[in-house]
Amino acid sequence: MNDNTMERVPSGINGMDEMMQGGFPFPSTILVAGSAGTGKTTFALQFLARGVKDGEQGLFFTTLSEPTQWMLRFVTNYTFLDKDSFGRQIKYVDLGPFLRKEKDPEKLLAYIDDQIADCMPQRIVIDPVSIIGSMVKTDYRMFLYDLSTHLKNWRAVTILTGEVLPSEPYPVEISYIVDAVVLLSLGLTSEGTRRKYLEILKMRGTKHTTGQHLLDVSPAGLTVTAGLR
Amino acid sequence: MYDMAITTDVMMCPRIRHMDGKGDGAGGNRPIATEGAGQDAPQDRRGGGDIPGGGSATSITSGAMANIVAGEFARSGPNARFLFTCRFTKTMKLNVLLLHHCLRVRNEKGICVSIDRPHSYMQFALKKIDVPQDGLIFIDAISKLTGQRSEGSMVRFLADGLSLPILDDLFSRAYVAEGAERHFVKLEDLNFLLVDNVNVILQYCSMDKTRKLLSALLDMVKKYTSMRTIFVLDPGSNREIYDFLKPLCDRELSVLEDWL
Repeated sequence: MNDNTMERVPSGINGMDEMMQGGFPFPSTILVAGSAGTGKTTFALQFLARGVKDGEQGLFFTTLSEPTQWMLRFVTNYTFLDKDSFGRQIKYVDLGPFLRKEKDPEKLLAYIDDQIADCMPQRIVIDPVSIIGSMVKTDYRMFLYDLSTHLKNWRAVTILTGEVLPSEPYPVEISYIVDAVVLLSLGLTSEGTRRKYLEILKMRGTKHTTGQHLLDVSPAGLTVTAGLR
Repeated sequence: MYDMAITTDVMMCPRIRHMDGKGDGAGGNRPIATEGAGQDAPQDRRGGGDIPGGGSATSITSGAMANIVAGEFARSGPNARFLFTCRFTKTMKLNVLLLHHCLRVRNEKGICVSIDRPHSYMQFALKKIDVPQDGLIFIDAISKLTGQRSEGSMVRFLADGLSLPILDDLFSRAYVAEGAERHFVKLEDLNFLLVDNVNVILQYCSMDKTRKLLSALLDMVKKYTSMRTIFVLDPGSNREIYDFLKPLCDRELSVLEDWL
């Protein structure tokens, strides 16, 4: 695959860039899907933290209405995250209050545009995007299409986290719109222990490694060992 | 005010290279260190350290980068060709800063050629920082292709992207806005032309076509106007375009990441 015209940014996930020609295409939208406890938010924060290291601005949208201090409390043990960067190099925006009042997807999009234009980030996270579907009453697919278009036109790489039940592979409506789909899953070993796995299901314009690969969690964050299943 | 600040900042900034010559390939690079002889200028500030005018990238309209741009534009003559180099992730910020400086600080009029996204995003970003856009003409080479067209009286929408016949038509006839009512502009009133975003041009056309387009653009700007031309490029990811543009430009300025 001829890649000499595509710009890429490092993912921030140890071992992952080697699986996808050096990083995420820039700009692009990436769906990171998984059930509870698979590491979606950690993935997203590690991605933003890498941006901070590279002098980039990050923007974290949460739809869960979790105050910053609570989220930081649970990620404070990770060494990849500089807590001082929150509020500065990583701007945090809670979409929850807006979503409770406003169901109009156009107004939501305008609000997101406004927040992006305010700080001009190179890395964006919406965590989780799947909740918006239950709140946006009109055409969800149309909204996702517009959202993805807007995010890329603002010249950023965006991680959209998607919640799924263990029996579901990924949120189907979102998977068609985004440029890449990364699946995080939990598997039960023969010894009865749980292991985490990462799989790049789709990545446009990229020759990527396929299949599930072991994902480890440590104070340094997520590490994927490609080839280890 | 700007002149005094610029003198100090420029002498302390290590990554500005001035290219002597007339923009036609003559001349070579002359490092700024020779101008600031005796100044202790560190070679690479990527890891941090003191940056004149403020060390952190707080506002894009202030700080070291804004002062540098002010100085360079103040000293440049008409038809000067600028090549700013920065990482591709910072292109948008730098373009906004440059347009802010031209439109708001210098109160100039000019053209922004939008080739990889609808012009409305730049409009929105400029409006966010209170940049007046009465003097800004957009040439939108992408909206018609994506179906994202929005209305605007000072916008020329191109149906087939940027092409040689279109460039000739634009500059020789000097009108913006199509339809029954055409808005004509006086090219001699325009001060700058900025291309947003040269980094992606190879995604839409071959290098051969890119050379022809950029050469034609520069020739037409010189023939019909007195505009300053501004390109922002990441040489790391666009080496071919960089090698092509470098000898054609009068000024090359390398922008450190923490200046934006």
